[in-house]
Amino acid sequence: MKLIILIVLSILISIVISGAAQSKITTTRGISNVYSKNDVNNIKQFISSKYNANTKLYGESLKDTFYGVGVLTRIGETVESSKDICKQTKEQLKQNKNTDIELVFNGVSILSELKCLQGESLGNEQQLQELLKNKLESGSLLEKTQAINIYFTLSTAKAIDSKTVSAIDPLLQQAVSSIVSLMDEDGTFKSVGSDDEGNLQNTAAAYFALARLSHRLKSNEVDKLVAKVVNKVDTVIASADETTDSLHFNDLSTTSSLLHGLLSLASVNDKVSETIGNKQINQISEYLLKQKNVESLSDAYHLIVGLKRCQKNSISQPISLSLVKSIYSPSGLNDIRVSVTDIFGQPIESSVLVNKVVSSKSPRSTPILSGKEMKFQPSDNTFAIDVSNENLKLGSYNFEFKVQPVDTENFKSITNTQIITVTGAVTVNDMKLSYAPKADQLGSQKSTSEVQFGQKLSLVEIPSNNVARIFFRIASEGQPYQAQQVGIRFHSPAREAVVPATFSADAYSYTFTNKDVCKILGCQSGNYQLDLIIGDQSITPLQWNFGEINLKFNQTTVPTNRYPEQLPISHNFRQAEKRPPQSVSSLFTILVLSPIAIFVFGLLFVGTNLGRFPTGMGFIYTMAFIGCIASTGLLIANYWLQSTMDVTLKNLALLMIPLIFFGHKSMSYYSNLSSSNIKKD
Amino acid sequence: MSTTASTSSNNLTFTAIVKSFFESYSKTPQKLKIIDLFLIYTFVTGVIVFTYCCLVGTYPFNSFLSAFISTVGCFVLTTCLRIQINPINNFAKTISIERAFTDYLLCNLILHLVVFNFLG
Amino acid sequence: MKRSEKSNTSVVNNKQQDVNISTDGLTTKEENKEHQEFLLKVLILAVIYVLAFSTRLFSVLRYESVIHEFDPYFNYRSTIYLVQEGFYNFLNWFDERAWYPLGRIVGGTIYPGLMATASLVHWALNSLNITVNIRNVCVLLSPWFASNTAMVTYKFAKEIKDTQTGLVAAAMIAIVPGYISRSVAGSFDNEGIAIFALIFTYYCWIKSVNTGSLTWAAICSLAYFYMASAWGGYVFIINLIPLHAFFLLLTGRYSHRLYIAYSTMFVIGTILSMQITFISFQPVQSSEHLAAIGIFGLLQLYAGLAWVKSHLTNEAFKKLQRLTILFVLSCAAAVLVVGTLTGYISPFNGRFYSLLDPTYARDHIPIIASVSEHQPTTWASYFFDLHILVFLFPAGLYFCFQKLTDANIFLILYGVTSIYFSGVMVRLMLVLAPVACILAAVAVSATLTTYMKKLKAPSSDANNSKESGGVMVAVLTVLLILYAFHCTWVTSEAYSSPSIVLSAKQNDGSRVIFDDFREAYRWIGQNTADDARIMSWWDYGYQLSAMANRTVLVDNNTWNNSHIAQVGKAFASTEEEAYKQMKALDVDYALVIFGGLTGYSSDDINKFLWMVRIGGSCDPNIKEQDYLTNGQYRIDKGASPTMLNSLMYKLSYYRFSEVHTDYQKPTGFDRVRNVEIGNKNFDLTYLEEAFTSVHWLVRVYKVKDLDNRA
Repeated sequence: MKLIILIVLSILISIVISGAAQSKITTTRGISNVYSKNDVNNIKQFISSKYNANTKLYGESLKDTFYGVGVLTRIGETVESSKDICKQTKEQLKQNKNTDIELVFNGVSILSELKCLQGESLGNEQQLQELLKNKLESGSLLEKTQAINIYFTLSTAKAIDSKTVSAIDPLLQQAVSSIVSLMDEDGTFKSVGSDDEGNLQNTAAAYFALARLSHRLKSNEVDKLVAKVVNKVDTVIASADETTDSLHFNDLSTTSSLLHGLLSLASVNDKVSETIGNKQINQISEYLLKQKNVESLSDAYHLIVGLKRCQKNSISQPISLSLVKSIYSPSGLNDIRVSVTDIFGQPIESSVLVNKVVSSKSPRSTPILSGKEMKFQPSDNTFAIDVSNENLKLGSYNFEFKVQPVDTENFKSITNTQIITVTGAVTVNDMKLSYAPKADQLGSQKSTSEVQFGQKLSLVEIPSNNVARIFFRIASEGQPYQAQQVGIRFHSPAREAVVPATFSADAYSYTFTNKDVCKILGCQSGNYQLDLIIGDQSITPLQWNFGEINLKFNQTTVPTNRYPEQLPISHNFRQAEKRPPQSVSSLFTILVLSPIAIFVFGLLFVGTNLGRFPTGMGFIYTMAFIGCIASTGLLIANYWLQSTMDVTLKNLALLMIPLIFFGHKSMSYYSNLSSSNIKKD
Repeated sequence: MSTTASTSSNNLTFTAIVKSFFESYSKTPQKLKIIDLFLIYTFVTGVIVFTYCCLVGTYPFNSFLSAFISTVGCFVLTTCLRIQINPINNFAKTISIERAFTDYLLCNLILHLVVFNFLG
Repeated sequence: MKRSEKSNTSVVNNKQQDVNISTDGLTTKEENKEHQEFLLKVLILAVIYVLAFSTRLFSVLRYESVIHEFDPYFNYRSTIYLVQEGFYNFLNWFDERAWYPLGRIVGGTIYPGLMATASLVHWALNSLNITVNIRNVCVLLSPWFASNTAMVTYKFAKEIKDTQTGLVAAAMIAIVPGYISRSVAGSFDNEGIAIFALIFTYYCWIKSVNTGSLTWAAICSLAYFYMASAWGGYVFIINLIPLHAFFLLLTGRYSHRLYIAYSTMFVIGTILSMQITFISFQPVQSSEHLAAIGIFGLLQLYAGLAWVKSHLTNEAFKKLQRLTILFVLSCAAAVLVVGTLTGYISPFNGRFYSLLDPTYARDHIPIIASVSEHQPTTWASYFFDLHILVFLFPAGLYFCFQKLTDANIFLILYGVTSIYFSGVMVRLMLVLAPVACILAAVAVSATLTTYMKKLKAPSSDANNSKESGGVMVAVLTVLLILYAFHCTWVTSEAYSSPSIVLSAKQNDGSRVIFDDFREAYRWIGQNTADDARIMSWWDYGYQLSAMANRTVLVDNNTWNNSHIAQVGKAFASTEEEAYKQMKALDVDYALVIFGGLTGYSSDDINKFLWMVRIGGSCDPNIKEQDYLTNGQYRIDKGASPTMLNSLMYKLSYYRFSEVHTDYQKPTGFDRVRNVEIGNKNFDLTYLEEAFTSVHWLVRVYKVKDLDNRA
């Protein structure tokens, strides 16, 4: 009983110790990317594109100009038309009347970057002093920090007069305490005392300002206050968004400003370096490098500021190791090169060691190579190694590099693993197709057909109760090679199926019975082409149609489509009715109009009373009446030929008026005539 | 009665009936004869249209119908006019000849409008 | 109103008496009386006009100006289309938002008279800058036409008898419930204008038979055209008028006037009625119009023979007559037989055949039998719809027989045939109402005339006659007053509900309004995709189309029985089967009406057996017996499992088990069937509940999409 407890305890302790031991031996992998010259050019072009020739500023305001100028000066580019910018800035500052402190801050920063501030005074000293005093005492946090920055910038450039200095200097101590009083419980800084919460932007500005103030004032109280702030730095850092290899605070500008503030604070208080170390700087660098594509001047400025701080800071500076080339042919294995640079692609003096080389497929097997030093090539600042005599076969290999920089104060050593692929071609040997009634008879000669690589076997008929086998070997440079994907494809115009070949010892084979292929081919009998397909990332792919077989299945064929085939849709169109030929209908037209003849001749026979046709007014009325009736008839005929009903009705209504008028007149004429006749009788 | 029966029994052949009919008919006034002529014309046209349809098929049925109804309608309307004008019938008190004629025109207008609409 | 009506008629009778006594030439005193009479007549007619309109406005005053029922919604939608698109586009309209995959050729399958009238009124008012909304025009069209009907009835009865009868008839028809039921404000249906067209056509017919003038015959055919464009009941006209002509022939009342009137009206009327696309060639092809053609031929034959007779001696004519009649009749018979046998003459339309044989529809065409308006009439409905007209009707017939004229014979025929048809179908009570009013008016006016004379006569007779006169007049007055009260009460209580908005009285007497239908339709209109398809029973199709503006599968037109049967089958199957059906029909939403929570008894569960019958008429797997237990239709625990698993049951009672409808009863207590439901706490797998209205009257379910294949 006691023994068991002892054993368990010892196991636990060893685990803990090994864990602790391992935690000390942590080296990072370095950063995976660099901000290359190409990227620098891109950002330079971006900034130039934002230059507005009319206003002689970058972007739309002084703030944008501040960002643009900031980027250009930090990447070491000359600012074009800097004199114009200086002039513009000074004018804007004068116009401002010193009420907007952010504008003043931006303007002063621009002037100091462009070095237009030396020795000159800005004018409006009194107003400036008032403004600074006002903001230092009662402004929000950002305004306080801006005032502090303005003051320091001006005093560094000696563009401030002594009156202002004597007015502002005493307030600095107070400013420190007022800034620190704005710190919230989670380490962030509020804007004003009445705010509920602090935010990270304020925190960054506060850190930077406190660092500057502490540097300048060098007093114990200030140091105590700064220590109080530093105590909360780990809480602030803990609020970051962290993944395995990147770390950021909200967005680019916050991250960059906070990094800037923290690193400045680190320069005055050592405890900061306990909370932010090599790992965090690397993570922040990874994050910043992901933000390469900037879309605004603000983003560009913060990116460059962040990167520059990563490149040079008092805590740790990230290193990047990159392969010059990652794919090699077997002949090229004599010159594998790597380069070691900082975040901006500048080479770092160091020594590189190849710790171990293992095959990617089996990373835990014994290393092929270990502990070989790489030679430095001064011509292009790279390190080279020759592994050609290690007989590396085709495939991928994990190369573990250990970089030891010369300058150990600023740079830490890193261990980085890269994958190198050796590619080439393979051959297939001993391709055999055999079939036999029983599986153990497959090796015999009489049922085997062999085919050379590149040829094709003639049609082989496999009886349905037999077992068949396809056997072959893959070799590269005489050595058996195991590829990632080896498959045999059966295909016919109707069906296609691919099956993987199994690897055993040094050869591949695929054994199948009638039932197996029936399942994969849907029991469709017929001739099938046999293809061999080999694929791997380190070889050129291979496809070889090596034979043709005929398979017979007894079972019913499984249909290829899960949906039944529908009949094609045939549209039944209405047949046009039969009509009589044109001649018949013309004949009919004449026939149907013929009875008019009966009427006319009959009239002649019976006799019309044209003698009693009226004269005088009666004549006119009657003719008009008959004319109206005839025009009505024409109107109806016109309707039939081309018009529409409502138009016809409207015209008819119009025609009604004369019709009714003349009708009435002629009818009353006739009735008078007949009544006078009656009276006569 | 018996004498008339004996005399009429001699005249009961079909041709005799027809002849006596025509004799009686010739006494009708000329106005009515003109109308009768028109009636015969319309009737013959109607018969031709109908036989044509029976022979050839009814494909544009609406056209056939409108033609046929047009003939039938004209026949009927003219008959009505004839009835109203005929002095034997006592219409003269309520409807004068002119009124009859105007009505006839109105009905014809409506009929032909509809017929042409239906003709297609 | 009633009192003045009675006094007015008595005054009019008095004046009439005076005029009767005087011979020719009017003295000043009589002229004055004439003028007074005229003024009185105009006043009475004006009051009747306003009365007819205003008595139909109950629902507008109580609820709002909204279209009622189901069919009017389709008419309303068509009218809107007509107003917006124009007449030619309307005639060519193909509606693809109804009868989902099939669509409906609206232009060729409706009677356009109603829509044309409404849009004409709308156009006329708007062109006078009286901007009335089209909905208000539609809602108030029927009452306005009811007023016009009263006026035309006055003219009609005056033509048949005399002015007194006309006035009484107009007064009666203004408020008779049988007519009000189909012409109340908001009931925008064909019958609203069809009765007006009917009476007007009959008036023109009687006028043309009485005068023998061609103008009246032409006007009669134009009125017939209007009637044919308005209602399918035009077949009644085209059969009654030949019947009248035939009876006139039989009773030896043939005259030239009859010939002129009938021939003209028939020819012009037929070709006019064929202009309507829905009717097209039926007048010469279907059995319903055979009588008219037959009588036309008979009249021609008769007139021709009469004319020939005038030119021949008797014996010759007799021989000719026999020959001709035999020849013509055999020709006609041959044509008839050949036509019916070859199928060229189509047999009676199902709807009309069921009028002759009432059991036909129940056995063969369940759709026609299922319409509630097609059920046979009960005695109670007769009294309810006609009140005193029921016993005044035979009295009027007696008075007509007393003095037979051409017009009287028409009235008798009209009365008898409409009595028969109204007994077959409740809906045709509407056709009986006008003739009942007229005949009752004949009876009333004749009675009043007789007894008023007795009252007015100088007391040379014994006092009894005066007393009896007074008693009879008083009795008639009381009857008429009761009639007016009854009609108004019926209108208010029974016929003024908009049926799209329901109301009920709660225990404390307050009214609670159920506006669930419109709520649901509005929800659908606002929350579903514009091309969503909704499956519901055909009753609600028109309302869904008009108010929710969504595509529906089947609607009230019921022109495709097998399509409705598919919907019925889907509702009657289990959920999986129904899901396959609904996917095949491409349905997005299913809608059911459920009355179990509120006690609304015209819900889909009560209609369910009709769905089963109609679905079973096309798919023999669906048997009505499966859904009954021991011949009883139940939905509680004793219900058949087919019923409890049917889609309709599930959609109606989904989550109903969570509801307490009554304090003492268990959850899931259906207030219409008064039982607790049998299948509770089930879930739906293929549909999900999309919307249930406030009182659970309308329930909308969304058909879920197909699963992703595993």
